[in-house]
Amino acid sequence: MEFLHDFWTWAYILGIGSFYVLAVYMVPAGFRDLLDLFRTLKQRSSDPESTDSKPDED
Amino acid sequence: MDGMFTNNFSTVDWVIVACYLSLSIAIGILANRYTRSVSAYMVGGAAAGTSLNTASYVGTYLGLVTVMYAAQDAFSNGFAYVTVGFFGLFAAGFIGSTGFCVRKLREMKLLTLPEYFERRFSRRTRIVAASVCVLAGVLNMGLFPKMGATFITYATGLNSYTDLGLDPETIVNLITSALIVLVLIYTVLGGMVSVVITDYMQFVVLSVGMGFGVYCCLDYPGLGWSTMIETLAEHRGERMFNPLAPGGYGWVWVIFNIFIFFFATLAWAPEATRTLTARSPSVARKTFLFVAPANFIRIGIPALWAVAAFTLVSQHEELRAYFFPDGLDAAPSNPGQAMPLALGAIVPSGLLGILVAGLMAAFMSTHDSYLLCWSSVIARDIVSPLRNRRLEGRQEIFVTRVSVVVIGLFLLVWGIWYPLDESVWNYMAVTGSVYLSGAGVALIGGIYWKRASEAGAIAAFFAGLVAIAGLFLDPINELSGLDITQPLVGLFSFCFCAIVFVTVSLLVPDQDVRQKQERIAEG
Repeated sequence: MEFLHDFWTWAYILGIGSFYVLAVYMVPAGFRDLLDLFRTLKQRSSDPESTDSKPDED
Repeated sequence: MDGMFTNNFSTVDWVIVACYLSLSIAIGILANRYTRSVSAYMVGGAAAGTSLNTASYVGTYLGLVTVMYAAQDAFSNGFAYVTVGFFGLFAAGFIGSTGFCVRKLREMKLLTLPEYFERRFSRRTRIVAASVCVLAGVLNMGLFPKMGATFITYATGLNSYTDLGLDPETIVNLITSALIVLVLIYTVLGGMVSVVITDYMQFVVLSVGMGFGVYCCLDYPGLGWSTMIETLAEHRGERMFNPLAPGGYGWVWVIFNIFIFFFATLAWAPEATRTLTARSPSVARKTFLFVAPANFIRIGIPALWAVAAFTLVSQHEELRAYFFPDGLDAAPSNPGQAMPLALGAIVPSGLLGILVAGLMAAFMSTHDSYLLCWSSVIARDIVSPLRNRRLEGRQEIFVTRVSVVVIGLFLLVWGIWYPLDESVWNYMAVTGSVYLSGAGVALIGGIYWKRASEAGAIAAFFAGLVAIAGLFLDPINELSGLDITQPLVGLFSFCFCAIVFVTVSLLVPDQDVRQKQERIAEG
């Protein structure tokens, strides 16, 4: 049982820790992506029938 | 039961929730101006970067219903239930690090997943896949509104407003109806662009709110990590920490959930749509890698709240009598009410408003993603192919919007009529298996096995329907005298579909394999 208690303690420390590290990065980067998305959609709105996506890029 | 937990939800919290919901709806309406094309309405123009796509993915699958079913199961089974969080973490980690399936799917520039089945197999396969997908998806979603309304009713203390002549069950049903109407308005107006924006907002608010919730559980008098673990171990034993311990979930449940999480990460349409909203194949792959920790969190944090609720219950005789009438080591009664009641008591006013606003946003963003997903599958993968003529852009958006409303009405009826089981997770997993068991093998086989055939894929989709038996186990067990469980039915459906897919593909091969592969290569 002692092992299981330690296992879950560390699972939670690592799980919650890694999520919040990721969240700290995602929040500003996601906002930047959101602005990019608006820009892209605004550009495409001049061609309403367009269904194709932007050329592949990272 | 009223008054057993003091509820901290106050006027300030209602103001926070109202402001947040108004903002979300306003954004949904404003986003309408960007949805001039089908691509923008359905996949947000396939223009989301990695961070936004990841936030949107998390926003979609971290719904209020996730929080509720995880808490409900963890109230009965403790941390043993959180092992499914690991399955999700490893599944997303594997797909994200290898690009398994998702890279190919994004390269094909699809708008919906069933479109893949037409490119790889045939139009017939696409229609069958889409029909099974919508059937499973809408059934799966059937309990979402009621679970969400249960949380809101008990976390905000609305259950004690019985002096108006309404019992808690009626209050839950009224809130269920109001939430469905709210989500319908907002999804019909905005489409995928508003889904992506509000998913992002939800990601931010929920990250903060859930963090506060965890802190309060660890800091509240009488709780704390060590106390919670010791209480759980003392009253319910090793099975609360180990799913394979005697009296625990057992092997069938473990293997079934490994299958479910792996295939759901790949092929469950609302999440798989995030493969298609990504700006590029590389972004699609990275999205899965980045969501891996969130796969653990979405199960782990609600489970922690449920363990806190159990600890509080164990300390009060009146609560023990309500939730565990047969003793603390027996199965609980009303497990779905424990976590929201406990949060309402533990989290102080103000923070509680942020947490409830975040979870209501979670409710909305999961609903809008799911509604939009199933509706776009109906419009694009069932109606269009059956007409033999593609719907025009505006027609397609119109059919999608009508489908959103029809599904919403179904949810209203089903959500109020269908009783909540002891394990909502098992209901969700079994209804998901109806589609995932067939779609998973057809998707992987289609991409990586040259001899996969149209007949094999269609047979696998029909074979998956066997999982529907999992919803009617009481009469089946009574008639047969057996003790069949939902996880057993789910696991059987996965194995059965794989066998059917391989056997039929070998027995009835496609005639024009080379042509099909050229078509896929051309995208």
